[in-house]
Amino acid sequence: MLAKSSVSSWRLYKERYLLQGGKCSKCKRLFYPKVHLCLCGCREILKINFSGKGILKSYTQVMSPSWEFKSQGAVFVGLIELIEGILIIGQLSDTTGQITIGTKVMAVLRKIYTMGKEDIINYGLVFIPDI
Amino acid sequence: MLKRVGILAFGSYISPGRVSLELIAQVRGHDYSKILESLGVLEKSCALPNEDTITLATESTRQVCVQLDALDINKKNIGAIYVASESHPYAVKPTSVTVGAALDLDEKLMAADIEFACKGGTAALQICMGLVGCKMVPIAMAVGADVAQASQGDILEYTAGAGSASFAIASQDFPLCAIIEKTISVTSDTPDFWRREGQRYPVHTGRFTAQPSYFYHTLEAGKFLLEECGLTPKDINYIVFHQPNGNFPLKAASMLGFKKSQVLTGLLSPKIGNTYSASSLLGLIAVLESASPTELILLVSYGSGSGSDAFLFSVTDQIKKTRQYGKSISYYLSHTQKILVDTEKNL
Amino acid sequence: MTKIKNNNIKNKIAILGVGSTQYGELWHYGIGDLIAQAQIKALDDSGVNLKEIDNIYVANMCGEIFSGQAHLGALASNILGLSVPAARIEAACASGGVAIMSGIQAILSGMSQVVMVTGVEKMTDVDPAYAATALMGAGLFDYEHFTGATFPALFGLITRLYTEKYKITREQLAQISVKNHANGVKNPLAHIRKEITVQDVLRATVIASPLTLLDCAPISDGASTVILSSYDFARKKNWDGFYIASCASATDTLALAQRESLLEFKATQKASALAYSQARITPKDIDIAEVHDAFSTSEIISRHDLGFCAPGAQALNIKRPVINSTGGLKSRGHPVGATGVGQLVDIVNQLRGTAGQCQIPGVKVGLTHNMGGAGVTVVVNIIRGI
Repeated sequence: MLAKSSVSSWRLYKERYLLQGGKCSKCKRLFYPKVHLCLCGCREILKINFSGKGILKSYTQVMSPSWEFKSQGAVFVGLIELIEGILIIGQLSDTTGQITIGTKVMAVLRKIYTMGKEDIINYGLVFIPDI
Repeated sequence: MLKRVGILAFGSYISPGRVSLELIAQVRGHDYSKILESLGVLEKSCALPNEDTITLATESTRQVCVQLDALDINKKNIGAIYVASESHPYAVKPTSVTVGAALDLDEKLMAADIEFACKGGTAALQICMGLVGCKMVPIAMAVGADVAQASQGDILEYTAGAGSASFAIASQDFPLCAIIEKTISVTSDTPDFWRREGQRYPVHTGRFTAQPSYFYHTLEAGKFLLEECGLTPKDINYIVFHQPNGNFPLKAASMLGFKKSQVLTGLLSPKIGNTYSASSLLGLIAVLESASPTELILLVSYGSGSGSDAFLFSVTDQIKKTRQYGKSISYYLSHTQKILVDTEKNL
Repeated sequence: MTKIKNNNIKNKIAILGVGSTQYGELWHYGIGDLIAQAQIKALDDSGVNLKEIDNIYVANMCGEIFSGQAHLGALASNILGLSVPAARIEAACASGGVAIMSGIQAILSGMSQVVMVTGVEKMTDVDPAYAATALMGAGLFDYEHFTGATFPALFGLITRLYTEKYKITREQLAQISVKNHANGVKNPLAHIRKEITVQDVLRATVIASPLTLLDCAPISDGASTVILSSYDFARKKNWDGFYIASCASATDTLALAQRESLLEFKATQKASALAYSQARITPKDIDIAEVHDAFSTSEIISRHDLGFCAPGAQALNIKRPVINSTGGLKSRGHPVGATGVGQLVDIVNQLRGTAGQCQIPGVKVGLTHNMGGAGVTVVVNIIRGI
């Protein structure tokens, strides 16, 4: 885990850059991240890139971060209901300390973490107020 | 004979952080009134801790994709992307590929990173013109983006800003909003400003950066382009320069024979500082957001090392539709966060 | 799904012996030391001959990550000088409960007669931030850890929704930790033995808002062991008659965002419903319970998921069953892999009447509730005496 290579990050780039998930071709249920099998039993799961737009449903300010986020100070994490109708957990940014449940948010690309000057930089989507 | 090419869509991004120069002067113990007089800049844009050139370039290019989508043009037509910067996050691994991946561009994509100090973005524009003009690709993307660096206590610290500008270049097969009538460049080996491999901050040669560097190349390129086109300053509606501070562009305009009113629309540095590779291009976008069809825009960029690229743009009827989409410069100027301390964090 | 045929005395799982180490910051003991201490304690408690143990399970989440030591089943066998079948069981913080279930399955299958189940975790050799990353393995790591979330952060998100929905105040939430600390003071093996007040909880360092340090179980070292056997074996021994009446488990999505509701844990509801049904009892019959309080919010939610009350503020005031009499995870400590087994140790001591200052008089039916991740895996055991 802590010696995770750039390869394991690369494998997830569509999920991280494009918010790519899945949509069951049979019952149309949405998933993020995508699944191998839908709850209805269908295995034909289509790829879908979620828009990144949504509403903030809950949030927390993480004052005791995990290892990879240690150098960043407090991180804000939110529970977001995307306009497509599913929930995801995402990092919140540009909040200037003021966060309100119900705020409209949208996804933008930002640096997430890097483990030192030689390591690959991990990018991903964070959610900023959609104003 | 090259087919006529031009701007199909454009997009900008300016980091929301703002640092007042008065605060910097306070912290450094400098005389703010002298700084203001010599630089003509009030506030500069500042990248947030989780931003870098890759994220900035992605966001301005995302706005281009918003315009393309509104024009019902499939972004899979983008066959090339060139991102120019002095602050590419990697010395080896191009910014362009991450922008391409983050925007889900087609995998069959030509890409490379460009560097020519503050004029890398306009160099990328010229490259895209060539590719599109000889039909190698339908649409080529040129991006100038920087999270500008300056060492602590140096005068550059007052203006080093963060911004990005992206342009989708295409031929008249597409509904262009501005035609590139002509472009020329002036290039020389000039030691005004540089940054060695592995060094964090650039070095500059003080007063040498003015007359023999910025002004020489800018004026040469501007004059040469006007001559080539058989035009004089009064034929031009807007002039946009590279903007290292708020004063140089006004001085260059005056020396070339332009009026202050012709410069002001495209002059952003008093509010955002010097966004390096994005500087003149963001000025161009500010102009495109208010210009009228048939108006002419002269853009002269400047990159240390040195060189200037000059362009003549003619605005088309399409501009009125295209510019309705995507976030505008005025959006970025009004959605800001005051930065009170140096929040540069190592991510 | 575990189905124990009930009312058939031959299928009772006897508890022959129990033992726990001190839980806490045990600088002098490595993971092998902790396993040894717990196993020996339980052995001595059981009166079982070492050679009679024919299967070993070790519950543990992060052995390789924190200590470099995998293969803990074999290690536990080796420590006792045995060469029996042995395995390490992992289900995040529910490793203990699932290891107990594995032991039960081994006995009911007829493949084993006497199974030693040890839960262990050695957490204090690493930086707490490193531990925080490792613990995110309890959820959908690549997606939840990447957002900057920690395990407390996931409960911070839940807590805000729960307190908003049910109009519970910060002060009310804090009562859970105050109660658990008051109980832990009486437990000599507890990690933290210190009375706290509601104000202490509110003023403590924020870990992941709105949760503070005193809403969250600590990072602890420790190990606990139970020795289980078939009824046939037990009745030939000096067995005091306490047995596992039922053991049930359920799982839910690893990603919190994929739940149907964030205000309840369906895995707890499902596992406990099965456990009650298999033991032929209802929640009202439980006298004493160990409820997984990794966070004060998880205890409140679990109280109604287990059927002890309705959701909301009422969950704060239940008198019966007595919950977390020895301090809960909050005060007793939470060496992740050990907790599920430690809960069983403490319930057995309560039923036997050997819980010392923590003793609740006259308890006859006990329940353990062990949860991995934010309601991802849940194991519920019901324990009673003949």
